[in-house]
Amino acid sequence: MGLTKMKTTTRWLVALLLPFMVSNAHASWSSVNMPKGVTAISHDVYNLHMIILIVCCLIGLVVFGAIFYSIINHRKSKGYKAAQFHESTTVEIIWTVIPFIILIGMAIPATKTLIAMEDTSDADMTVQITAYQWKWHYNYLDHGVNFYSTLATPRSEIYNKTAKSEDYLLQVDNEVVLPINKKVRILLTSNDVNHAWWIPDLAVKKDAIPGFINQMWTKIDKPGVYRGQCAELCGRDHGFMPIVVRAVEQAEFDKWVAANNGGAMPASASTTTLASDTPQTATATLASAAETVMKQASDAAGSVATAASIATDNAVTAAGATAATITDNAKQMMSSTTEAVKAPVAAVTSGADMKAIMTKGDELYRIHCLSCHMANGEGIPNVFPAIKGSAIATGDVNAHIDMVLNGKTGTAMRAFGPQFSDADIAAIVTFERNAWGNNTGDLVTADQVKGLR
Amino acid sequence: MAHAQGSYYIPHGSHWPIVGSVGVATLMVGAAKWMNGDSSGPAILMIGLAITLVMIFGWFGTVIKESETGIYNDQVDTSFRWGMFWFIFSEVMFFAAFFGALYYARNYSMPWLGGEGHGVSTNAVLWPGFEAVWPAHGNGPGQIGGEFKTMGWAGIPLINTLLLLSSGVTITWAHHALKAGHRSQLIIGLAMTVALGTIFMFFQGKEYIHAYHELGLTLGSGIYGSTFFMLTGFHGMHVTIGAIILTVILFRCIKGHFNAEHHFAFEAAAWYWHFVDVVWLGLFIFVYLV
Amino acid sequence: MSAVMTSEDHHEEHPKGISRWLFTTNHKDIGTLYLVFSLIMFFVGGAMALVIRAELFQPGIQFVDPQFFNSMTTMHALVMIFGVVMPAFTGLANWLIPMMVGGPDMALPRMNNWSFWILPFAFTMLLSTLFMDGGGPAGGWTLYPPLVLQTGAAFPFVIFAIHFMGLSSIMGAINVIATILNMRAPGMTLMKMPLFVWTWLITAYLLIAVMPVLAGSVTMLLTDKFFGTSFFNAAGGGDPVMFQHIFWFFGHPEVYILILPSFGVVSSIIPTFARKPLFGYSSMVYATASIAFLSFIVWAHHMFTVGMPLAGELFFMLATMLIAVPTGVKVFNWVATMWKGSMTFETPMLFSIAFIILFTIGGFSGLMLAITPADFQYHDTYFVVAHFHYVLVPGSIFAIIAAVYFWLPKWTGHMYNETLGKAHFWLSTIFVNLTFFPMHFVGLAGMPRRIPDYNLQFTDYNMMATVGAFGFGLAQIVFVYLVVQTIRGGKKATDQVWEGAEGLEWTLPSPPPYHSFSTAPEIK
Ligand code: HEA
Ligand code: HEA
Ligand code: HEC
Ligand code: CUA
Ligand SMILES: [Cu+2]
Repeated sequence: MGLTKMKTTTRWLVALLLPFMVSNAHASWSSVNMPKGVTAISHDVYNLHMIILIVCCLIGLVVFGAIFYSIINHRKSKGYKAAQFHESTTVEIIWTVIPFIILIGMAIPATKTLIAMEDTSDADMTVQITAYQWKWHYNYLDHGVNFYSTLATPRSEIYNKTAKSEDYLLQVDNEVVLPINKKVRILLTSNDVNHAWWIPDLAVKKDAIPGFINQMWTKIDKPGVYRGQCAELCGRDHGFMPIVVRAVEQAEFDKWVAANNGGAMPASASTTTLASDTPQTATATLASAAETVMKQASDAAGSVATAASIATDNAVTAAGATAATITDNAKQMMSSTTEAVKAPVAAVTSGADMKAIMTKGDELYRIHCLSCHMANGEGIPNVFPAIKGSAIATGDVNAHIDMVLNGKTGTAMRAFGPQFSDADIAAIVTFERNAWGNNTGDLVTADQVKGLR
Repeated sequence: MAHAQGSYYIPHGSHWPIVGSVGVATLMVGAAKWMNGDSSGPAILMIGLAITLVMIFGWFGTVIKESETGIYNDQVDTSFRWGMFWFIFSEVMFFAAFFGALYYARNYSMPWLGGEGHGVSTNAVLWPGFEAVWPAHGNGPGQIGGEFKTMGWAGIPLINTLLLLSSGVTITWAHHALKAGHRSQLIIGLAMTVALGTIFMFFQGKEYIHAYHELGLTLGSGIYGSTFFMLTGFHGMHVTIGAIILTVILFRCIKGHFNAEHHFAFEAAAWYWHFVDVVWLGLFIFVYLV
Repeated sequence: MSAVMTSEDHHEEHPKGISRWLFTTNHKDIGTLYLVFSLIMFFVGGAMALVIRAELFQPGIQFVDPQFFNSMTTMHALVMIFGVVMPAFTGLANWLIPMMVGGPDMALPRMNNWSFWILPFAFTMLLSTLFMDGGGPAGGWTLYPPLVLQTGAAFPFVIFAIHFMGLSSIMGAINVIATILNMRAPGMTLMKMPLFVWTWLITAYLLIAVMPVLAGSVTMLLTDKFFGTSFFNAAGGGDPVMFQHIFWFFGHPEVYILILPSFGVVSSIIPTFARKPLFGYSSMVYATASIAFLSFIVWAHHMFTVGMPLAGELFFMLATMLIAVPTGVKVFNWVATMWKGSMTFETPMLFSIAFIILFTIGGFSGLMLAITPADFQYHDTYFVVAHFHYVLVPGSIFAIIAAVYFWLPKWTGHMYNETLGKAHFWLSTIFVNLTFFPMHFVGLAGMPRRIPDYNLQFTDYNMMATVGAFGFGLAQIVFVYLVVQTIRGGKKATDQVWEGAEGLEWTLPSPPPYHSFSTAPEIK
C-alpha cells in the first residue's frame, strides 16, 4: 500500500503532538495541510489559508497562554486569594477593537482573491461539465470532443478482494485533458441531483445544480495529473465519483483533440469493441449539427458565444432537469444526432449472437445500472426497484425499452437514450430480460430500439 | 379550594398532553402512509384526527372550567398572554418561509433562468428562448403544469380583502362591547366576525374552483402555482382555524362566560384573527397586486 | 405572591409510579425526563457515529452498504442535534430557570409536559424509518433536494417527525420566555438574572424565529415530492438552491441555539470555582444578543460553493467574520474571570476550562471557513467535520456534562464521586481530541465528507479518529455509571454545595422541594 510502517508511526506522532507543537511539521506536510496547488489562484488561496491559520494560532497562544498561566498560578491550593474586580469598560473596548482590526486585516486579501476567482471573462476555451449519478460528462465546446468519465477502480479493490492501488478511488476511465497556461472556463451543471466538481490542486470547487449553470475557471501552470472527487452528497455512490485532470502542453492537447476529434468518446472502454466505428461515422453529421446549433444559440446568448452546447449534451441536460418537455431546439438536435449514430450499428447487431450480446449487456449494466439496481438485480426496496422478476423486465418489451430510453421523469431513473447507441440499449435490455432468472428469451435488436426513439 | 388572589396556579398532572401526542403521531403516521400510497393511510389518519379532537376538547374544556372557577390570577393571565403572543410570532415566521420563497423565485431564480445577471449561460445553454415574465411565465422554462392564466386582484381577492378588513372592525367592536358590558352587542359583533370569515372562505373556495377549472392554474403550475396555492392555502387554513376559535368563543359568550376584566381567551382569539388579517394584506399585496 | 396553589388541595403529594412521569406538570420531573431522554439518545446517536467510524477505520467497504452509511450520517446528525443537545438544554432550563429566577414552576406547566412527551413519539417515528423499505433518509441532515426527494417510504415520516420536533421546540421556547418574563421573584430585574437565564432567553427567541422556517422548508419538500409543486425545480421556475437558503436561514441560528445555553452554563461554573464574580456581566449579555442578531444574516456561509453572485459572497463572508468579535468578548471575559481568582479544579470546572479552550479551537476553524476563497477548498471536507465537532462535542456536550456535574448534587442531594468524575474528564478530553483533531488534517489534504470509503493516503488519521471515537464512547459509560451511583446514594450535599456558588438555586435545600419557591425569595 505504499506506506511504510515508519511513516505510519510518524503520522501518529504528528497527530498526537501537533495540537501542542505546531512547528513540528515536516514529517508529512502534504498529508496534513492544504496542497499549494498548480494555479495562481491555488497559491493565493494557500497563502490566505496559511495567514489565517497562523493568526488563529497566535491568538490561541495568547488566550490559552493566559488561561494556563492563571490555572498554574491563581489556584487555591497555592493559597492564592481571589481578587474581586469584575468590570472594566476600557478592557472590554480594547478586546472588541483589536479582534475587529485583525479581522479587517484578513478580509482584505480574502476579498482580492475572491474577486479574482469569480472573473471568468476572457477565457481561451470552454468545457461544459454535466454531473450524473455517478459520473461526469465533459463537453469541449470549442473542440467538439465529448465523453463520459466514470470510476475505474475495480469493485474487487473496493470490496477488499484484491490489493488497493495507489490511486484507489481516484482513477477514471476517461481523463479530462486540459492544456496548460490557458484560461479554461468551465460551465457546470447537473442532470439529476446536486454534485460538486472539485480538484484541490486547482483550488476550484463549485456545485453542479440541476437546471442551472455555474461558471468557474482555471489556468494550470504545470503539466501533471490532478485528482479530485465529487464534493456534494449525491446519493449512494457519492464517494465513487472521482475527477482526474491531465494537464498537458498545448501541442499534446491538440494531438489529443485530433485523436478524439468531434466525436463522443465511448462511455466506457467496453463499448469500444462493438461500436468502435460508430463515433467516427457520426462525426461528420454531428459536427455540422453542432455548428448550426452553436450559431443559433450564440446569437441568442450574445456575450456567451461559446455557451452553446452541442447536440447530445443539450438534449440530455434539458431532459434531465426534470423538465416535462424538452426544448424544441434540443429535440431537433437529438434526432439529428441519433439518426447518424443508428444506421451502422443495426447491421452489427442483427448478426451478433445472444451470448455476445449478453456479455456486452452485462458489462454495460455493471457500469451504468448496477449502482442503483444492484449486482443481483434486486435493487434497494422502495428506492430503486428490482429488475429481477420486475413487471417491466419480464413483461412488454417495448415498455422496457421505453423505460431505458426515456427514463421516468421525477425519479432517479433518467433517460439513457441520448447516452447510448441503439445497439447498446438493445444489449442492456436483452441482458436484463435474461439475467437473474428473467428467462424471457427475448433478443432485442437495435432496430426495435430505433423504432421507439 | 382556596381562591387566594396572588398565588400562581400550578395544575396537577394531566393526561391530555400524552393523549395529544398519541393523536398527532397517529395522524401523522396515517398521512405519511397515505402519501406512500398505502391503503391503510386514510383510516389511520382519521383515527388520529379523532383522538386529537378529543384531546383538544378535553384540554380546552379543562382550561375553560378552571378559568371559570376564577383560579387564574393576573400572573397566570400574563403567562397566557406571553404564550399566545409568541405563538403568533412563530406563525408569522412560518409564513415568512413561504413569502421568502416567493421573493426568491421572483427576484432570483426566475430572472436567472431567463438569463439575467449570472444566469446568462443558464438561459443560453439549458433554457434557450425562455423569457422570465412574471406572472405569465411563472410556471418556469419547463412550462410545468402547462398553460395557465393568473389570478387578477380586482375580483374575489378585493372582495375578500374588504371582508377581512371589516371583520377586523367587527371584532374590535365586540371587544369594546365586552369591556363595556354590552353582552348582546358582543354577541352580534362576534357572530358577524364569524360570518365574515365564513363568507371569506366561501369565496376562496370559489376562487380555487375558478383557478382549477377556468384558468388552468393549479398547485402544479410551476413556481407561480406553488407559491400561490401554498400561501393562500395555508392562510385559508388559518382563517378556518380562526373562525372555529371565534365560534367557540361565541358560544362561550352566549353561555355568559367572560367579564369586563377577565376575558383573555376572547383577546387571544382576537389577536389571532388580526394576525390572519395582516397576513392576508401581505398576500393581497405580494401575491395578487405586484 | 404568597403560596402556590395546586389543585391537590395544598397537599405536597404527587402521584407515584408511571403516571407521575406521564402526566407530570412539575418542572423538575419534566427536566429529569428531558435529561434522561437526551442521555438515551446520545447513546443511540453515538452508536450511529460508531458505525460511521468503524466503516471508516480502513479504506474499502468493510461493514455497511454505502446507502446505509449515508443514512447513518443523516440520522446521527438529526439524533444528536434534535434528540440530544436541544432536549438536554431544555431539560436544564426546566430544572434551573424557575429556581434561578425565584419562581414556583414553569409558567405553562401542562404545555411543558406536552413539549416533552412529543419527543419520544417524534423520535420513534424518525428512527423507525431505518426499518422501512428503502431505509432511512440518506441525503444528509441538511436534506438538500433533489437528492432527498429520492428517499423511499421513509420520506413523509421524516418530514412529519421534523414537524413534530419543531412543535415541541417552539412550545418549549414559548414556555421559557413566559417563565423568564413573568415568573421572576420581585426584585429580580433582568440585569440581575444569571447568565444561564439570559442565554436561554435569547436562545428561546432564536427558536421561535427559526423552527417555523424549518417547518416551512420541509413542508415545501413534501409538496414538491407528493403534490407537484416546483419550489426546488428549475424547470418549474424554482431552484434547488432556494431550499438551501431557507434551510440555512434556520440552520445557522440553530447552531447558536446549540451553543448559547452552553455559554450560560460555563458563565455560572467559572466564577464559582474561581471564587470571583463573573467579569463583564453586562458585556456578556450584550455579546450574546449580538451573536444572536448576527446569526440571522450569515446563513449563506454554508453555501459559498453554490454559485452566488459575488456581492452575496462578500456580504456573507464579512458578516460571518464579525461573529468572532462578540464571541471573542465572551472568551476573554471568562479568562478574565479566572485571572487572579482562587481556583479549584473539581470536575465541572475541568469540563468548563476544556470547553473554553476546545470551543475556541472550533471557533478558529469556523473563522477560517468564513473566508470564502479558502472555504472553496474546505467546504464539504473533513475540515468542516472537524470544525463543527469541536464546537459541538467538546463545546455543547462538554458544557452539558459540566452542568450535570455542577447541579447534580443540588438535584439529587448527593455528592458524586470526584475521582470517577476526574477520570471521566481526562478520558473524554484525550479521546475527543484524538477523534476530531486528525480530521483537520485529512480534510485539508482533501478528504470529502459523507463518503464511506477513501483513498489510502487518509488511512492513518482515520484510524486514529476511529480509535478515539470508541475510546470516547467507552468513557461515557463511566459517566452513566457515576450518575446512577449518585442518584442512588452518596455523601449528603449541603445546600450551597460549592464553596463559591452564588445564586438563588443554592439557597434551596438539596434536593429542592417539589415546588421550587412557593414563597418568592428576597432579592438583594
Ligand atoms: C455549536 C455549533 C456551532 C458554532 C458555535 C459555530 C460557530 C461558527 N461557525 Fe460553524 N458550523 C456548525 C456549528 C457551529 N459553528 C455546524 C454544525 C456546521 C456544519 C453544518 C453542515 O454542513 O452539516 C458548521 C459549518 C460552518 C461553516 C460552513 C462550512 C462549509 O460547509 O463550508 C462556516 C463558514 O463560515 C462556519 C463558520 C462558523 C463561525 C465563523 C463561527 C463563529 O461563531 C466562531 C466564533 C468563535 C471564535 C472565532 C473563537 C473565539 C474568539 C476569539 C478568541 C476572539 C479573537 C479571534 C479572532 C479575531 C480570530 N461554520
Ligand atoms: C451535537 C451534535 C453531534 C455530536 C454530539 C456528534 C458526535 C460524534 N460524531 Fe458527529 N455529526 C454531527 C453532529 C454531532 N456529532 C453532524 C451535524 C454531522 C453532519 C451530518 C451530515 O453530514 O449530514 C456529523 C457527522 C459526523 C461524521 C461524518 C460522517 C460523514 O461525513 O459521513 C463523523 C465521522 O466520524 C462523526 C463522528 C462523531 C463521533 C465519533 C461522535 C462522538 O462524539 C460520539 C460519542 C458517543 C458515543 C460513542 C456513544 C456512547 C457509547 C456507546 C454507544 C456505548 C458503546 C460504546 C463502545 C462499545 C465504545 N459525526
Ligand atoms: C440513479 C439511479 C438509477 C440508475 C443509474 C438506473 N436506474 Fe433504472 N430505475 C431507477 C429508479 C428510481 C427506477 C424507478 C422509477 C419509477 O418510479 O418507476 C428505475 C426503474 C427502472 C426499470 C423499471 C423497473 C420496474 O419494473 O419498475 C428498468 C427496467 C430500469 N430502471 C432499467 C435501468 C437500466 C437498464 C439502467 C442502466 C442503463 C438503469 N435502470 C440505471 C434508478 C436508476
Ligand atoms: Cu456526485 Cu457526490
Ligand atoms: Cu453557520
